[in-house]
Amino acid sequence: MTTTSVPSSESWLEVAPLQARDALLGLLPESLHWIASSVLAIAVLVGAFGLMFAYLTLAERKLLGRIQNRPGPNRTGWAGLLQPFADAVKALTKEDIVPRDADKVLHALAPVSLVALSLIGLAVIPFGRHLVAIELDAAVLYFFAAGAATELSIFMAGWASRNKYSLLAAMRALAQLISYEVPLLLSVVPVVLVAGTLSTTAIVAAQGGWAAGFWPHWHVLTPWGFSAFCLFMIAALAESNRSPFDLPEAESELIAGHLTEYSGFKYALFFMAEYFGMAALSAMAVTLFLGGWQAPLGWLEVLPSYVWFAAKLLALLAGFIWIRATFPRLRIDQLTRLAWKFLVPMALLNLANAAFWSLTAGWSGPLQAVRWAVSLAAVVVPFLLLSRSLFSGLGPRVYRYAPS
Amino acid sequence: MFDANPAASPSARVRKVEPSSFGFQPSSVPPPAGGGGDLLEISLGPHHPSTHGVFRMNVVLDGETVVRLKPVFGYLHRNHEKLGEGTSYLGSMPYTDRLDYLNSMTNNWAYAIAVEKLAGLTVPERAEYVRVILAELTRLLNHTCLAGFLMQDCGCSGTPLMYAFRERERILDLFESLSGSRMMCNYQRFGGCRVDPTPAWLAAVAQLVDRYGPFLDEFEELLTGNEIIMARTQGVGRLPAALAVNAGVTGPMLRASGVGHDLRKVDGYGVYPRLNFRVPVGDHGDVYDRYMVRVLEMRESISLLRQALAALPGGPVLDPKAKQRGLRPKAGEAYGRIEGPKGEIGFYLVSDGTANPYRYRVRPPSFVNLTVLEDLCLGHTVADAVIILGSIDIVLGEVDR
Amino acid sequence: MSLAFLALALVCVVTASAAMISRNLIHSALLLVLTWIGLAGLYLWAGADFVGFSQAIVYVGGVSMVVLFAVLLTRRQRDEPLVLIPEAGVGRVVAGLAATFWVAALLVPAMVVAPLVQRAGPGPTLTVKRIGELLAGPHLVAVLVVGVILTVSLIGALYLAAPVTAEDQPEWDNGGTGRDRGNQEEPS
Repeated sequence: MTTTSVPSSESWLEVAPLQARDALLGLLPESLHWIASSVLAIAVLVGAFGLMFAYLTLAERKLLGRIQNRPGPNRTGWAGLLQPFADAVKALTKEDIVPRDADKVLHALAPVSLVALSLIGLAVIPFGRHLVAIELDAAVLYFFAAGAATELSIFMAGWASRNKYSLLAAMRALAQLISYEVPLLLSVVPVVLVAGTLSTTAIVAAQGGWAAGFWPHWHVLTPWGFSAFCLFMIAALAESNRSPFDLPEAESELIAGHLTEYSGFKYALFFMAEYFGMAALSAMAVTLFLGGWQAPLGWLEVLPSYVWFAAKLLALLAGFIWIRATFPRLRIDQLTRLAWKFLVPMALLNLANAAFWSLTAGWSGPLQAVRWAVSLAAVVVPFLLLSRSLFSGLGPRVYRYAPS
Repeated sequence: MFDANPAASPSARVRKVEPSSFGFQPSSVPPPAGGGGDLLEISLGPHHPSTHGVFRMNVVLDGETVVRLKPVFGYLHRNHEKLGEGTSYLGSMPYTDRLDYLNSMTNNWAYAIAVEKLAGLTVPERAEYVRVILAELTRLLNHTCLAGFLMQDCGCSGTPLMYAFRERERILDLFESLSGSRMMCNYQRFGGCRVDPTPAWLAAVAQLVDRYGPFLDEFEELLTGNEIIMARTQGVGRLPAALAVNAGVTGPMLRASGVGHDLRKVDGYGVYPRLNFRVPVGDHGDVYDRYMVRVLEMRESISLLRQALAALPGGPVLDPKAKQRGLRPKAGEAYGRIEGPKGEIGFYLVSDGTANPYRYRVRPPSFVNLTVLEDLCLGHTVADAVIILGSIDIVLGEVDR
Repeated sequence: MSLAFLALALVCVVTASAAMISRNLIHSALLLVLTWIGLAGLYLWAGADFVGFSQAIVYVGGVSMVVLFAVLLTRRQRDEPLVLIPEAGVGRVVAGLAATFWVAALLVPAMVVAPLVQRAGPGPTLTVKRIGELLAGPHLVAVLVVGVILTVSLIGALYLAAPVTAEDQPEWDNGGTGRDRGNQEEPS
């Protein structure tokens, strides 16, 4: 929310948030504006994402329920709409149990630091044309630096609980972070390479406009961008500990992993952090690959930019939930193997692919078709080869019947 | 499994030794592969999401690899066999429901066969067919549940389980309308069945059979070809055929290891010899084979149900001369066994001519199949141990009795 | 702004000292992470955004994991007290003094010579693009050499950490469950 001048040429919906902010700031003396504006940005972010967290839990339970032939929560309020608040009351009123032998400081610190760390990444996401909390030159770098310590909090939780399941979960969390931080960052590099900047607003701006009037310049709609988007989302699933990479809290193996010894509101904080982290990574994916707040078609720009951002974000989050309802969990060695033998090589090849794309930006006419063909081949061929090697020795089997 | 040598000195690598009252001596723990790290001893259960009841596995881990595993059970022990000696023959029938509470119909049947052998009773033709119908419905129910639970253990967030339970409810509805109870059916009697199924009930069974094939197709489409499922289950928990035979493993678990032993073929009890079905056999004996053999068995069960429904003759379902209450078989012994969904479920009875059996003994398939657990799990990770346990298909009501 | 510098420096010094003093290795490692965060803050204060964020990603996100892993995998008992050196022999004193001298000889002149700026200056306005051009241009050789050294050290670490080969592995199947297993021929 750094833009102070309100452009006059845009629809009132587009600038409504800015006008509301200016109106609020007008109530305060001039000398307090700089801090009030920051506090306001933080309050809006925490409020909006807090509410989104509440309803995301409901949406997850509803969607999972529908996918699994059951209605999901539908008793609290109309169609279960008050369920998140009932859950919050329950979490707040439950007894907070700390194991006697636990490392009490770390045990209490872990959920708090986790929530804080998963939230601060949101500061650099451009939620709309004029809606970004901090404009940074190295915003992408800031985002991943902010997220780097989240798994450290999970480790703290697991280690401090003094529980063997938690300890195993802590080890798994470490292994998972080391493995998936690499493809996550590597899948972002092509975007930075092609856009030539680390600033999120500039990356979104670079994805504006349409080729041939209908094909948006979103990165996901290029071969290398699609590949990078898929790699990013897989790594994001692992980074946010979501199924099928929910190994640290593997319910059927480790009870609840690092959450085993948590109860009451601390437990709720972990959930909050999981959803914040998921939302932050999805928001980053929208920014980097899905054109940020850009509308998919020109005439659709009648809707304000932040609506488009929210729509894309919610679609990705629904994808997270869908994946959770569908896939079984990987084993820890398969998890690391997937990262190092598939995601990392794919991401590195994709980097070369993006470099090729960037160098051939001037090609046109039939050369454009060659450019697309080469880039597509550079995605599809390694994908086929690597995935075949990943699943070598596995496959459907033919069964015989005992002679009678 | 039950011969932990107390004389062997506990390895110095294991710091904490479980209370010896649980019979767990982590003796002869082999040094961990790779040399490094110390061992971690974890008690999985008795309250654990995926030990299928109050079962406990004491595992010694090197990193995440299982180097020693000790099953601990008895938390659900309720003196089943001794109770049988103090109860009349008919009085034990509802108790058999509680053994493997998913499959009360087959438990009833095996017990009824044992008593019928002991007392020399005959079973009317119609009752034999009804028993086959109920046994195959039970097999469908059990295998469907198992597939759902196994996928749950693999980490699916409930979706396959819910699909499986949807079908299970339909079968339980049929059981309820026939016997009055969903799970504790208490339906078989000595010399036949308790009530005659109505034509409406038989039509409902036919309807269910017709929609079961498409359900299996849907289920398999969702899971069987899934790469993660294959990666998680193929090559995991291999049970060699020789070990399976030596350990007395029966049922789908034995057949997944490549031994085509099915009591329906071997004993040819009931009217099974008149029906046409095949016995699927696996070649690898791993978790995937155990899952697939059960799926294929379900398909055979559907065909069996169709044949039995078509061939169902009229007549009584209960031999009117057979005495139920106050049955006093003459002194002797008998062992009745059938191919239950989990394996050979058998009842051994000794009569001394009184109204109560002198000796009442159950041969539970889950319990015997469970004895190979450690051999299957060694060298695999904790996550694998959980799905291996899931693929063995245990019900604690039967293991602990 | 010097207030911010003092606060950050205080964070660094306090956490680093606490990490040295703490008897709990995990606490030490986590405190060290705080020190790194403080260092990243110092870079940010100095206007070097790129270095600051890189510091956070590499050290807080990566190196800390390695440190924690090392701690967890090497310590048998996580609470066993640190084995302190019982007595300082002459050799140890000499070695300690020599090390102190060399570090001081490197650091003290640098500190004395460098003008102590109380406030972050305008700072080099390096864009990320410019950094990339510098790294791929004039400093390419240095980058390549560092890359080779890191690769060599990685391979060395892998060699040291490689698991024991298959023939050294114990035969689990001959372990003492005691049941007669007959001849176990795998059917496949």
